[in-house]
Amino acid sequence: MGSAKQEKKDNFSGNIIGEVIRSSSTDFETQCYELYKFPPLGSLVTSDDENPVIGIVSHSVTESMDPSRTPRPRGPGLDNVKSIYDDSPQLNNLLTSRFTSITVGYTKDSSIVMKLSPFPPRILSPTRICNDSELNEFSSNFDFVSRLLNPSIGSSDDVLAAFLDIASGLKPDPEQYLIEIGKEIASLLPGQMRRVNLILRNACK
Amino acid sequence: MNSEERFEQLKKNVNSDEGWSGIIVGGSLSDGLDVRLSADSSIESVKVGRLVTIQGKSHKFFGQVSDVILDSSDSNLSAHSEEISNGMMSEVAIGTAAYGLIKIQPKLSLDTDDISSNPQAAKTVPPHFSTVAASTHADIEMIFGKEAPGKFWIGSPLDMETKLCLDINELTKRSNGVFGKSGTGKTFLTRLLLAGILQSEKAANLVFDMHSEYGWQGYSETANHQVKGLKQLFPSKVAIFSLDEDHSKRRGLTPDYVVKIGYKEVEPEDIEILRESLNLSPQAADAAHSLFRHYGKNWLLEFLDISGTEAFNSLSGQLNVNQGALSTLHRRLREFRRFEFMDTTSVHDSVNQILRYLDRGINVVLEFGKYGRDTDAYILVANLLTRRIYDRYAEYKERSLSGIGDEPIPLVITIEEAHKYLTPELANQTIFGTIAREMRKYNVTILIVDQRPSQIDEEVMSQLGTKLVCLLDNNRDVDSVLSGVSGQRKLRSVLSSLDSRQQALLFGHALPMPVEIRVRDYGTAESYKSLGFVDTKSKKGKHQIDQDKSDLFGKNT
Ligand SMILES: Nc1ncnc2c1ncn2[C@@H]1O[C@H](COP(=O)(O)OP(=O)(O)OP(=O)(O)O)[C@@H](O)[C@H]1O
Ligand SMILES: [Mg+2]
Repeated sequence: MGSAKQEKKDNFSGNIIGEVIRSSSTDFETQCYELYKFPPLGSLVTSDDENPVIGIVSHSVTESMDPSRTPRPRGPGLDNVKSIYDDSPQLNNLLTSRFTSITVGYTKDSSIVMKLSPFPPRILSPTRICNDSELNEFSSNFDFVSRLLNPSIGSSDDVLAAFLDIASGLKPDPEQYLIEIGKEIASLLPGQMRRVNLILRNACK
Repeated sequence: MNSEERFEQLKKNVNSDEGWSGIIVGGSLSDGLDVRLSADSSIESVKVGRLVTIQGKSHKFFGQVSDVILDSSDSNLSAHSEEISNGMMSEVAIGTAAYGLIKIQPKLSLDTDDISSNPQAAKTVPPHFSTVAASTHADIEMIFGKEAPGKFWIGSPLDMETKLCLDINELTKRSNGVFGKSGTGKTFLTRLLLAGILQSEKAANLVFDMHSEYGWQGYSETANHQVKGLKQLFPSKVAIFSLDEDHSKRRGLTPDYVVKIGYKEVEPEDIEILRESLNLSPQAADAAHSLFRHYGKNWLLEFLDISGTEAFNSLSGQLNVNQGALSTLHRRLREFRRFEFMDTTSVHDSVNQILRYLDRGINVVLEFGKYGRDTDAYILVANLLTRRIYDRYAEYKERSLSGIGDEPIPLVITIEEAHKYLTPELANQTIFGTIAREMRKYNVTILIVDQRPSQIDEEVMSQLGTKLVCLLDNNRDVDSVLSGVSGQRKLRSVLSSLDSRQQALLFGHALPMPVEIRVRDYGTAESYKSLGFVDTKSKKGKHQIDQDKSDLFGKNT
């Protein structure tokens, strides 16, 4: 393994949380390495290969690895869920955590392009959570908003709100940021000020 | 502005330092354009009446803000106003869902591809999304012209400091009117116009100065002090004639000529025009003609000398005129005896004197002194003199047309209280009515200064080329000044929203488009200077002034 590659791995390996297991032009699904270790809803993630594709986490699921075998309740009388996992380490192999990310852009020549990627991420590409500076850069351009509001991609306003909650936290003046992006949202949702209001309310901590 | 400068200006984009800009989102030529303000515009900085410039594709358009509207793209906005009006959300909503819309009335367009073109009445509209912003100084100059000889700075567009100029040459091609209710600034505006005409040297003024305020010392109510008259500003270009020498002298003025009128100069037509102010029946007024036929030139004096019932009876029989009418006429005309400016000399030289000055391009102001309070005297004298002067101009003009002599310099005759003698009943019979209708046929026009335009004959009103109108609040007066003007409804609201002083709506022949102005200041040292007045006192050197000061106040000041 070349030293450059090694270095990259060191920098980001901490953020790599799983691998792409399903991929399409508009979204991609990642299976987490560890049960429940998925990024919060609204997080910015990227596939970590030659053609990195950027997505926002829109949906997460944890379920049985084998669809034909669903977990059975252990109760009643149980008072600590954590102890069940401690007592039954095999659960980690029977269950799986996955999350879907809506594609909002890709990286080309180390700059962000806010369009659908011409190529969806390849299966088994690592997926990592973007770091603060990536998130900051990405969220400074409002072009992504229209994609998240597009009803055909199956995102919800809550995803946008969750993303804004995370992104605004990095800004020097979070409220100002929300006002500015709020104007963008308002202009994309003419006649729906109530909806705009809800999104912004949910984006405020 | 030379063509290069102008080209630069044409290429420049819209002005954004007024705190707002917008884009066209709809509308029509007839109902005005809808302009959506940009999100960062402050709606409070847009004012109705503001002149705006619209950058179209190949034309620049000029128009005026006619309405400012709070609009929203969300029909439910008011239903949710409670939740939306909270701090952050209201900021988001302003400029997006809730935005400012302004209505623009397009007035002129200018072909930006053709540098030599002039602004034309707008016959189409700029395309969607053209940018709109407040007109700049340069835009105003492009439309109304730059201050120059013949282009007189009359005031500034509302909310702007730019000098708005009036084309004196165009102005004096027709009769004009200055209107406004009492105390709104007609006199001050007129005095400025007269100064403009005087300075242009394109025309000469003859002013029938009812209240003795144009030629020598007017008075400013707001500043509470006297203001200079035209003679004080332009001593070599103005001659003051007086009907009341004592009055003039008391005010420190030696008139250039004291006007007298001979009884023999009064003709029946001069009585006709006084019919309303003397409250004469048509029969009584007609009797003057009979008297003239009977006595000849000296009819008035002979008639006034009659006394005793018998004498009246026999005269009435001779003339075949109703005796009642005759004695009413006698009673009314006896009032003329009070007029000290009237005497028995057969022919006075007043008309010749006036013409002599006018011929040399010197403006003549006739002060009425105490007779200014007497409408009869004013009408009698103004009418009598004008009729004769007009006849002479007609003569000059006709001679010059047949190649003998020069054309007379255009004459502008300023008259006040026109609503008392340019009424529908009398307008046809007065010389002023004739002049107004003729459009400078004989190089004579009138400038009417009046507060009750509705009582002036409609036809006379419609003949006025340019109207300069201060605040009017009587509906009939507003109707009469606006009759025949396009876009009346808008102008009407403009007129009624003018300040009660020193603001005016100008429209008509001498202006490419109607415009409201704040009238140029008159009465300060600075204002005199800007009119070209050189204060001989201030010619003293700095040293001399310092010396004067220390003489007066001691060394330390
Ligand atoms: N251009 C101006 N510059 C300075 N002051 C002005 C100007 N116009 C009007 N004013 C102020 O307003 C007052 C009234 O103006 P002005 O005498 O011209 O009114 P008006 O319409 O002629 O009134 P009236 O009908 O009584 O003759 C003036 O005395 C002066 O104080
Ligand atoms: Mg006046």
